Amino acid sequence: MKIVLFSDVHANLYAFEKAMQSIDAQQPDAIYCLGDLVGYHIYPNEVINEVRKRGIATIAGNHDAKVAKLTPEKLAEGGKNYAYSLIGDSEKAYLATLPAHIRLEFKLKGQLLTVLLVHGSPTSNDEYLLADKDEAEFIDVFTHANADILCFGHSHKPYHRVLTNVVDGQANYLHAINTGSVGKPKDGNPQGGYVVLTINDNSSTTVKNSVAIEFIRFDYDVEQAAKDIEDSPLSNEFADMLRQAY
Amino acid sequence: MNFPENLYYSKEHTWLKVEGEVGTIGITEFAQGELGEIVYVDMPNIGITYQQNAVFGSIEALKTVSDLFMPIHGKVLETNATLLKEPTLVNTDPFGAGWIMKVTILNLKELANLLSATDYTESIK
Repeated sequence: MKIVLFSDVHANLYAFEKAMQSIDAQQPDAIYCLGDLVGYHIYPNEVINEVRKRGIATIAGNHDAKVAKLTPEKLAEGGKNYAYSLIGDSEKAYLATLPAHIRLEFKLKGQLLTVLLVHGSPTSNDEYLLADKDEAEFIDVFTHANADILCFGHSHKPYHRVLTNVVDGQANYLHAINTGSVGKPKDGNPQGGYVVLTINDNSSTTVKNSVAIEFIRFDYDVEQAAKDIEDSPLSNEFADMLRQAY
Repeated sequence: MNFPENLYYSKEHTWLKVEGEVGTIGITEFAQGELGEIVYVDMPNIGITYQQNAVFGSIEALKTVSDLFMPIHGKVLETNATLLKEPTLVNTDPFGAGWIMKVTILNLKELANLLSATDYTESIK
């Protein structure tokens, strides 16, 4: 099956609309969002309502989880908190009930293959799993989470890393997949991005390349998205970050 | 660990350099060491006023997020935009290029609530 994974829209409606067009054209069997629908831009409700309309299963990112904790005083402070002050009551209620993880368990030719979807890491939506993480520590993360394929966002820097875990002389290939960000990339490429993960009936941890992972990048109107930030009470630096993708 | 003598320190591990009514704020060498590699510094907008000990931002390290507390009542004048591209400057040069923001100090009397380098060094032992 063909699974689309996207993350970190961050209320950027321009990027989100183009992402949806691109994803629809992929004709996926399932779509999951790995969190952070809000923050940094001015269209949180539009993004949330489209995600809900489409029935996209979504987990809570650190920004989504933070909304319920903001006091009226903090929301009134302006600055970056303006992005959260725009969120409606119904949208807040939705964010407050998003799950922390989604676990997909495939039984392929009698063998279990577990895909775990998180925002930051299995233990925290704030933790960063960066591409250069120590191999042994990274394998520990998979072991503790009981995952073969771990998919996450949060850093806004896409990557796929295969980790080799040798158990009883048998090599098991684990996949760490960072989807990158739809609405706020930080890898120097301002295009939005997402991932297509394809699981076949032959997919297995013992066969190295039996899972297909494709990184898709798409154009959107970065300049208009940046201008909307500049025309709002949000910091102009957020606009620059979109243009230059940092 | 060396803590410059010419700075004021808060128990929440921020430092304050006072030049006239302008205060420069960062986190200490001790704090950056405890946090580990810093990935993002969430800084406030210019013009916002914070009371002493109020949360003015946060620092995201690889494994944790920590609030940033105001060492003194002040109004934000400037934030260190370089940190948005190079957040690890807070790790490599916490008392220099890793400064976080400058404020207009609104109550100099509150300096009395802060620690000297010697007292701060004692407090983290």
